[in-house]
Amino acid sequence: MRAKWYRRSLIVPLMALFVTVGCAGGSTQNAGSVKVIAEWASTEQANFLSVLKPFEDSTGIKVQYESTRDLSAVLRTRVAAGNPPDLAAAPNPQLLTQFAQQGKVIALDDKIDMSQLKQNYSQSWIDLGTINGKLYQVYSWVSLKGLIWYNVKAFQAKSYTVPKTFDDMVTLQSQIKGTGTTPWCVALKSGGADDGWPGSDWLKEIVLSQSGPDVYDKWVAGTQKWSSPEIKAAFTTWGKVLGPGDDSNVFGGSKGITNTSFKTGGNPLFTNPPKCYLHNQASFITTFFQEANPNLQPVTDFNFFPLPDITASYAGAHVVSGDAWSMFHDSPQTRKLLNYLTTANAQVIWVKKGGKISPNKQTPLDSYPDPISKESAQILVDTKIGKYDATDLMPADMRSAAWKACLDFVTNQGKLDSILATLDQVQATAYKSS
Amino acid sequence: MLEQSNLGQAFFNSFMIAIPATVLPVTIGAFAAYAFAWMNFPGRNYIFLALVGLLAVPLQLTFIPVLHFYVQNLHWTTDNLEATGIPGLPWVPLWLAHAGYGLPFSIYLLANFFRALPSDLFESAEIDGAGTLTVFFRLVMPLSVPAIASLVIFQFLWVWNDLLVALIYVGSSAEVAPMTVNLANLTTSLGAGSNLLTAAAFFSMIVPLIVFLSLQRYFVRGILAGSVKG
Repeated sequence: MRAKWYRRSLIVPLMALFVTVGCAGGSTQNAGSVKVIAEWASTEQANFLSVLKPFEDSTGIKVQYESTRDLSAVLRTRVAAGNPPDLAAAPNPQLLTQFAQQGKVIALDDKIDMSQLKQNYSQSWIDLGTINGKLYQVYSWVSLKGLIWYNVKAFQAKSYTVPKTFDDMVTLQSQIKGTGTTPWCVALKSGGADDGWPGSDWLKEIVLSQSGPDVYDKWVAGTQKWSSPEIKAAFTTWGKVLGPGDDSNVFGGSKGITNTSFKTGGNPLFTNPPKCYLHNQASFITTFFQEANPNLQPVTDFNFFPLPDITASYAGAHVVSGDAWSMFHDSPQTRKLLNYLTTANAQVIWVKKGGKISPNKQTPLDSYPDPISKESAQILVDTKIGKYDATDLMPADMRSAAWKACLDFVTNQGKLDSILATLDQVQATAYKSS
Repeated sequence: MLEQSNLGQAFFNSFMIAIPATVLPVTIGAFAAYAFAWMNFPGRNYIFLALVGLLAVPLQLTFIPVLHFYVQNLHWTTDNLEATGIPGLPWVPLWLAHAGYGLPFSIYLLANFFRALPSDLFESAEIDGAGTLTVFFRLVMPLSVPAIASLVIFQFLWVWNDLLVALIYVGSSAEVAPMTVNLANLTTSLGAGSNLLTAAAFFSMIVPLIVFLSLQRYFVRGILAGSVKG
């Protein structure tokens, strides 16, 4: 009898559990909610939620926002298991493009207000989200790459001027080197597997500005060999900036480049006397400038100029990146939210909080909180040839190989040919598996 | 700080996840281990071998099929489970998943421990008229407290510190996410905010410390001293 008592005591609650859950399964769908997943956490999450607030207040639709720093793992698993969110914003559109090719995300052409979209965005932004003739991705906030930061006061003290052309920049760097100071600060460390990515930024900007959008597109698609003259030329141009053969133009030399974190890489600009005068990084770096030196003010203490055009016919070409929205599940609420997120009214909320730039033509330049982001927004609006960050579009294997190649190149520029040969091998297999 | 980043809620969630996810595999594991150690049934060794083999399966491999089963066959999405309004229900998939991941190890550990108990004990208990369950609850369990305590520590620490399994099965909405998920979200996508991370990580560390310190005396206690007389 005792045995039965034990057995029953275990079975009854288990049964109860399964029955209640089983019943709950059928009745689903909270009317009027949208599930959104993205990488924005902490202060970014607070900013995004304040963007959603007016939408929730005016429509009554509840947005369930989830943030995760491991977006590709979570998204891949959920999509494969048949439990995707309604909308996702990914900083790496390659993943979303893959989903689009597999038919896991929905084409937006007849889902969102296209005439509004065309009014708000220049064609190059719409092209960025178009795959096989259909629109799959739209952008709310983006950032501009290839900004050269400099210490304004140190520049004035030495009466250096902002270079207008690439040749001017090369002249400037030898002028700085003549005074016994290294002209550049370059920092490629990021933490483990991501090491080297800031170097790939250099490379992309040079490829686009030197060889133009067609080569760039072929390079992204994997049909332009790494050992081809155009890509090799990009490496050697970068080598010219670093100091041919020996990285002697950079503070700390090749050891300094590979061992300095990108977060602190620009700080030697602000020592007295400066250890370097120029630093190439995307717009977010100002946060780290001010973290290290809280007294620094934009424009009076630090400012930037876009990487000068290398080939005149490709003037105004810039590499951009941003978080792309994709729709996994179509519902009236999801459409409404996506329409809202492509309006200037929504984007301007985060723009005012700082750190983000809106690609929307209707976003007033006055809404940028500081002159620096206003200036980069101006450049972004004027961009003639906008191309998405190349390595973010390449398959994961190709991307990591490219990052590693940047480290290898900086360590020993003489090995360029063997580095490019290795990249060609990766290119031959990486595109097949994805 | 506690209010602003939902740390209090996450702390509670972590307990709600870790306690059942420890109790379940340890309880089931103890029953199963006893059967493997002291009961005779056909194929016992082969089943045991298969279970030990499961130790080598990386749990990442199971995410997609298990989640697919939850979502497609049982309709156990966090939304559906929350909609029932029964507190604790959204964590059921996670509890079962953790139990599944923990079972091979707990059965393996306990079965080896149970096997080492002297067979005289079981014979004399049988002569005294004890049934299987009486032997289990009155004899095996009290004698195995050190092994069970160490297993509880292992399992609790693993579940408490787990980020990925929780992220996959319950997601990161504030109502259900544990401490680890919350901590990971304290930094922005560019790594700003790491100062908060160290403070919060210390907060999350306190619990495993307490668990370890309060159970560690069982590790050193004499195991079978004086249990078999004459």
